Amino acid sequence: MMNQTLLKLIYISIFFTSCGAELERQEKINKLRTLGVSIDPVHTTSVDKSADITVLFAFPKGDAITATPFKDSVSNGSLVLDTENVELSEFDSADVEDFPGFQLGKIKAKILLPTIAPNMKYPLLLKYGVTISGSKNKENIVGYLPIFAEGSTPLKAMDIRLISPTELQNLAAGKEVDIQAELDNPNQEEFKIGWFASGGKITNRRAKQTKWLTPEAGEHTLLVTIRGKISKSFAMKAVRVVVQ
Amino acid sequence: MKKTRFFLCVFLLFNPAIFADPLSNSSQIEEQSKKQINLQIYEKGSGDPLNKVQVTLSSDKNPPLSIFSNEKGQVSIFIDTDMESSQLEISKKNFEKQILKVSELKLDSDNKIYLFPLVDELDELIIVTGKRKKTSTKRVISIDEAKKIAPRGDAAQIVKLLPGVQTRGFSPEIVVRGSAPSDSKYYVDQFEVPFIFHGVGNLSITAPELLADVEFESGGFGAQYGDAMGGVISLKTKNEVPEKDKTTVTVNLPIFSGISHQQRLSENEGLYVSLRRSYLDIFIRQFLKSSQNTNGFLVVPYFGDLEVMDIKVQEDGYQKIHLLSAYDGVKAAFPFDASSSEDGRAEFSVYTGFFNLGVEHNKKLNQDWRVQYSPQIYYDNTNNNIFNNTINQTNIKLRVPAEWTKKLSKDEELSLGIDPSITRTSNTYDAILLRFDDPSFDPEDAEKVSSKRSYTDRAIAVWSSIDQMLGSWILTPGLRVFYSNLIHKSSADPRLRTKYLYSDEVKFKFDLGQYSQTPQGGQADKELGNPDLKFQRSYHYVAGVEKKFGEEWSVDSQLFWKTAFKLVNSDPVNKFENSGSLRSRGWELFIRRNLTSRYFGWLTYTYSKTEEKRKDSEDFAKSNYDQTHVINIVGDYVVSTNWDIGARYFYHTGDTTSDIDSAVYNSNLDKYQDRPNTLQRNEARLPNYNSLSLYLNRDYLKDTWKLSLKVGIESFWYKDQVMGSRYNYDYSQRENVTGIPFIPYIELRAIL
Repeated sequence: MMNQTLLKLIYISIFFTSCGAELERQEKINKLRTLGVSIDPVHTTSVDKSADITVLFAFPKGDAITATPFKDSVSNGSLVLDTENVELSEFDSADVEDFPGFQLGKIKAKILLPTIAPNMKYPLLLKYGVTISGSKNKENIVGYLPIFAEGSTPLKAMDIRLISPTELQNLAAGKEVDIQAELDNPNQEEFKIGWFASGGKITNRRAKQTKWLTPEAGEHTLLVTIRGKISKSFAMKAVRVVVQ
Repeated sequence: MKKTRFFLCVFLLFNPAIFADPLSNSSQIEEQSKKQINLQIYEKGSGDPLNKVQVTLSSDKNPPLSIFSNEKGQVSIFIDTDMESSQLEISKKNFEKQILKVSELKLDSDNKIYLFPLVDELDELIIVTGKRKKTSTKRVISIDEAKKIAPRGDAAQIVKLLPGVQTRGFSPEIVVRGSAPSDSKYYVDQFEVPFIFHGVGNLSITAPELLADVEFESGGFGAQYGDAMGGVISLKTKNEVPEKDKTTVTVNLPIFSGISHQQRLSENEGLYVSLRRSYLDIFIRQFLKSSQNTNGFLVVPYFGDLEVMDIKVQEDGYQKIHLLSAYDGVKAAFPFDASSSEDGRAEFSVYTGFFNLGVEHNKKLNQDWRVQYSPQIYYDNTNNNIFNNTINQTNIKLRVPAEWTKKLSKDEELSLGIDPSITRTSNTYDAILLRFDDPSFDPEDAEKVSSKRSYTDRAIAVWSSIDQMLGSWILTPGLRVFYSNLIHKSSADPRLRTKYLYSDEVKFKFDLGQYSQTPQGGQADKELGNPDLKFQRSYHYVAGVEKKFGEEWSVDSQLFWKTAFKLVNSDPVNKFENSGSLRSRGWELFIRRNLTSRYFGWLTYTYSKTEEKRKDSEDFAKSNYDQTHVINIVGDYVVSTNWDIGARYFYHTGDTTSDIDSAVYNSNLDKYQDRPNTLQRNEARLPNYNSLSLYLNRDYLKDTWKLSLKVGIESFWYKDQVMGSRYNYDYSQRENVTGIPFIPYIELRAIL
């Protein structure tokens, strides 16, 4: 009987992803959007007292941004940190990078680690939360900070390079162009790729090589991210292109 | 005067015509004829010999003479040579008359005559009998009705058209009076099967050619059934030796083909075989090869089933060797948001298959006692690889259900039964723990667990029930006592069914009882589940009245109330707990026009309210399966022998759904995860659902075989019907998802 349920869910997934009118697509950046959270150090152990996170996000030019700690109601087997464990730095509106279509901002936070019981199973996942608010929408961001056993082999951060298109490359409007990234996976872990763009449509935003249906003429941004599933590391690269 | 009388008597005494038996085996008219005409009369389409066909010889010279065919359809007629201009009229009730000139017939050899069957103008009732007496909730649908009116002629799906039954969205499974599909039991004869419908195409696992009846109990069932809180669906296969050999070849576009064959091995032994296989996988592979723009989609579903039965009928009963096997699977690969591979695709492979081999003995022990026992061996294998989660499980089960019945009187019967089984399970699990009942469950965010185990489960149930007539009351108390080694617990379910025979036309019915169910699958597993789980419990209360209007019409009305508690739900601490509760109540109406040679149909209406809660501390909320109104109107009309048409109308209140207005962005998964308001769970509804299905059946009768063409469209309505809803990536937009506008199909069957 469980397998009949699984079969049903697979068919429903296929149907729902392929049928119906097109809703707003995830790759398109047209409002306040979280791009990812990087962790420092990548390999936090049980003897560390804190870890730093940096929330990277895209937001409409000139929008006022505020941030507050957030506590998720769902643990999924992790230890959900109280808001007191997240010390947010103020958002520095000067520390932004301009891109066609949006601005890229950062908010740093210190995660204060709770006392960890000696018999805890590692890696222990601590769940942190931050809310970023703009003038029109807000994002409740959650993520896991993995705590590894003392003395365990340190993990390294994943990295990604955007191969194609290149910075300020000219592209034809309304055409499908190849886009490609390359990964560095030092831990040989499972990962997740995510493409973002200021316009157009990306065929498969989870593939390292896929196609981009370019938007209307103008300057645009294409961005690719990588997240490691075990290290929880994050990396991102962006290029500006000229669509004509 | 006396002399006249004397000679008259002598003449009459010695006139051979007086003593000629018109139905004698030789069936001859012997007059002073010199030419013999032999007729062999059959029914067109089936090639069955026809008995008692009236053959009338008419000529100018002699008065008409009639004679009748014998059991083998044979008639011999002797005619004078000067009667070659005469004609023969061949006629039988409900068959098209034929008039043949004698000169057109062959002499001294068989003339094969095929009479075309007609619809019975008197529209006589076709009697349907079931094996076991009915409970108030038991309904028996004849296979003739089911094959015509059920979706796509798939007889087992007839239960979807009965009161108390719901279907939801895309799922092939059924919900009985608010109970989840896994709470009901499915049988093919004495075989308990894990599923009765293939995951693809919604087809049942048994070919209709092998079925005799479909029995359905929506609740309040007797002590012979256990480990179920919902309903019982039982497909009954044939128990008699086929009268003749017959082969049926089925081509159903676009889904499957099949062949079934019945063979009369001897007067007492018959063989039935059926084999069906889908070809969607073949079409899809070809299509994908030739298509250039598939966007990386590959979905290849497949299924098949095989059934073999050997029946030996004896004076005191029968023996049936029965093999049933079915499998379902899908291989899929497509762009998937949760993909962790460089090509951004996910691959799935899901397979489940089983076979069941058993021997069913039904034997009269003496004048009073009868026994039925069915030793059987069952095997199933589940092999799943879903996005790097692998689950492999094998079950081997030995089971020997047995039942003794003693007829106490015309309406009274004592039944005793036992149902022991031993199951050996081996599983390898390297996957997330599935928690579909948890609204916050996200497979991508769930922890993976690994386990490799083998274990043995022993279970036994003994039961009894007895009918007691007290005036116009028939009381049937029953008791089922059972033990499960899986949770090391035993228990007992008392049940009571009553009937009040107010008159020949009117019966009142009341059922009540306790119905228990063992935790399923790995829920009580030592490593992957909670071994301290207890039996899930349900109480059923049913009150109804049935009234017949002549032989052709009947109305059945029932009130039901069902409560269930200690339902197993996922738990963050213990993996699973007996923490859930459910309550369902409603009213069902079943107006039925019984099967006659011209038409049949029914109307069902169910009003119900189903609520559930996951923990005692919560309030009841609408269940996932709550559908306030469900209506089915079905009908089939035989236009002529070759044509019949039918229709089904189906309506149900929109499915419950939960509005999502809150989500979090999971930065590790680059996805938004909904955070539904648990206080508003299932408070919203999709639009109400309507569908109309029409079909036309055309038979092409050849002499000894027939070709049956069925053309139909399923599930259409003047506007698109909503099957579900979906949200955009951050749950800020929502849209309804509609189904396919309609599903056309063609099915060709050659019955040889």
